Amino acid sequence: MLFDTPIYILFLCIVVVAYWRLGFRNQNRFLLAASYLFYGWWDWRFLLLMIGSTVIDYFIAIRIADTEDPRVRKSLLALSLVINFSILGFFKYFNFFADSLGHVLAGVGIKASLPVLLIILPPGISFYTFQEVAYIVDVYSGKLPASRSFLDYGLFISLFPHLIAGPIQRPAHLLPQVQKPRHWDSDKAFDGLLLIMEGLFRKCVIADNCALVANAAFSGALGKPSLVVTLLGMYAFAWQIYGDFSGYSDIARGSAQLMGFHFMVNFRQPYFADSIQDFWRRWHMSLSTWLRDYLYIPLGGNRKGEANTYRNLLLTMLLGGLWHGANWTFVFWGGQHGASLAVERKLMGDTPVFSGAVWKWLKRIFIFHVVCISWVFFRAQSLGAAWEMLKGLGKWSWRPEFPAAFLFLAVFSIPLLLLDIYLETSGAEYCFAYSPVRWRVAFGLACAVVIALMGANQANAFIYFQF
Amino acid sequence: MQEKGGWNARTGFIVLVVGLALILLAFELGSPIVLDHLSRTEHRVEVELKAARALRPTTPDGRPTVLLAGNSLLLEGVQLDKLHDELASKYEVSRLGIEQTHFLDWYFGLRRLLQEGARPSAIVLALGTDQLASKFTLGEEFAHRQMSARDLPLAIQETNLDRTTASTYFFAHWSNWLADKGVIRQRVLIILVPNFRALAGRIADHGAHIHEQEVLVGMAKKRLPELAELSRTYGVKIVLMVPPALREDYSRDIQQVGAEVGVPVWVLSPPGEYPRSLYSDGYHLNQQGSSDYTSRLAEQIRQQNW
Repeated sequence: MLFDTPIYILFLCIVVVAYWRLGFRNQNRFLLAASYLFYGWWDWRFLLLMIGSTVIDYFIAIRIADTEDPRVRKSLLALSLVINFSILGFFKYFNFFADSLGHVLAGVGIKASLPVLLIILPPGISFYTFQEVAYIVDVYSGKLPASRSFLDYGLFISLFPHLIAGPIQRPAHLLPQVQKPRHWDSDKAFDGLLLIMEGLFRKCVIADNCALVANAAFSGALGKPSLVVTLLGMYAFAWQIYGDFSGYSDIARGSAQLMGFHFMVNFRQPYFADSIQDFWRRWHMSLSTWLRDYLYIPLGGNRKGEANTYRNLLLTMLLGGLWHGANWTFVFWGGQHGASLAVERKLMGDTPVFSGAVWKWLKRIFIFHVVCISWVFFRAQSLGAAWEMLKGLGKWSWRPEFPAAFLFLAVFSIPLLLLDIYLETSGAEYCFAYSPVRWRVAFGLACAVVIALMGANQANAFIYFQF
Repeated sequence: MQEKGGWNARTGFIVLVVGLALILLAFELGSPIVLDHLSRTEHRVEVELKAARALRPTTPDGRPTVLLAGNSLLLEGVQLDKLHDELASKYEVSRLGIEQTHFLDWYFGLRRLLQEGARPSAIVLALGTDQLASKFTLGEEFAHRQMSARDLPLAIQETNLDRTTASTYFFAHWSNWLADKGVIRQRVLIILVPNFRALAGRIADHGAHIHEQEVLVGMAKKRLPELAELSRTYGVKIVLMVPPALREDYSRDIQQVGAEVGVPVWVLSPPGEYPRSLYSDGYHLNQQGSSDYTSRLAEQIRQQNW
């Protein structure tokens, strides 16, 4: 089920109403069943895979917690990691690596016919795998006791609002919420409903409309890559992916709040970042903090000298890029961010340079464009296509439709920019969060009217569903 | 938390939920009325649809009825007034034209029309060969206007829908707003963005363009028998008319497939016959082109023994 479809709205309404009529343990049982229904809606075979993976980690975590022998504990941790990453690797990367190996062998003159499997990527596999890995690592390192209830652990992994595209929940944050009774809180529920409205606005109005221009630019429907076409495609995709993923995250957080759960914030006005490091503190925060805590720091972080710090940054971002998808474009995208982080660290250190309001805005505009260029690799079908798109920046072409395309893009991106300016200056989590209730109601209703009038007319799957 | 002299969150939650329900209801009830007034196209389609539903094999004075169905290729390629004038003594011709429609829109659209009791003597369906092969539909608008509720399982199968989209089609079948929201958005954007119509032509997603001979003929072999079956079931003659094209569209191959399965395929102007000067945009005929094409169509219908 996609969050912006009638079936999800109906599903959410039924679940929320029924959920609050049940006692604590039954709430968990009911939510687990609802989450499995939500997931199995795509394909019940994927559900079996997820349940299987959940069961394995549930028992391994208990064994880790019950064993004091460090060698056994380490072996169990390694076993869990191997199983989790093997499942992810098989479903997500098998064909990618087979194809890449084939190209490498062909490059050295060896003709190898490597198998290509017809594999469908199970939705959300990257997200729930990372959540399971975080849980096992936390239990192993003693940060968290192993859950003794499969119901609780299963619900922590599969709670439907975060199941398909995050935010990736930290075990220490969500698991205790699953384990304790939750009580109706009108403030939380009201905030949740407003988050859903803002999320739907971001997704249906901003992202789905910007997607039309981005798709047209990247598919060649606006003409061959040129300065105007590339800028249109780059800007349109920048706002599309931001609206899409932040909208998804808002709907997920809002849906969870309607049931008394709190999810971590996933976006904090990322296009106002004044450095790449700052960007990653604001963009997909649940992933960036996961990569920091479970990859960058275990690799040594910045504790083992300058050269190793750069290596760790690059490695972390390369793997972060690969996590997004089995394509060299994602690896390059991650590599570009890793390299930018390393260069930034080398040039700037920890001391802010060029301070002051004007410099801050100039840096923000510069970083926005660095990020936009990286989005070209993220969006393009291949590295060659991305390069062609970027080469277009040096060519000139004009069509009578271009002014309308820029105006169309402005109509849909400026509202999100203004919303972000408000959120950045107010520190609020959503628009009017600190305003009187009447204002917030008016905002929610205004969102509904704008969605009804301007929402793109056909549902587009959320970009992050493919990851 | 209670605000000073204001609402608390509980009141806010309730007012918001009720407000959202009222907005939904207002759009649900209001969108057909507003669109009928705002959009001449929507008004025309509704009028034509109503007239098509009422068609019987012959008029009270005994003339066979012919329904011309199709998309903008029909709307711009055939001059209805001229056709009426040329055929008035022998046939009663009416039209049902919906822009941006492809085969599946019409296959299910005609099924629904016939299920609802429409019985023209013959239906002439005007589609380009690539539109015959296309998997594209108008989405929610299609589900509301052209697909009947009982055809939903068949539509899911034919269009290979996932469960989420299938459920959206189910809701759209019953919901005015879900069906109309695309047109509403278009109207708003026409006001907000000058030259939006030209831009929309470039950025709208009409599915991949199909031009491979093998695919076109293969799809014709699959789809023309479906039209033949529809024709047999309801006792209505169905003809596929391929409008003129500047480039090779393999309409002659499709004509052969039609002959094999019992669906006449009319190619009144072979691909490339009409020069570019008879087209307005390389795809749709202009005034001069449509005048000539209408004469040919009138002659073709006149020759039938319907």
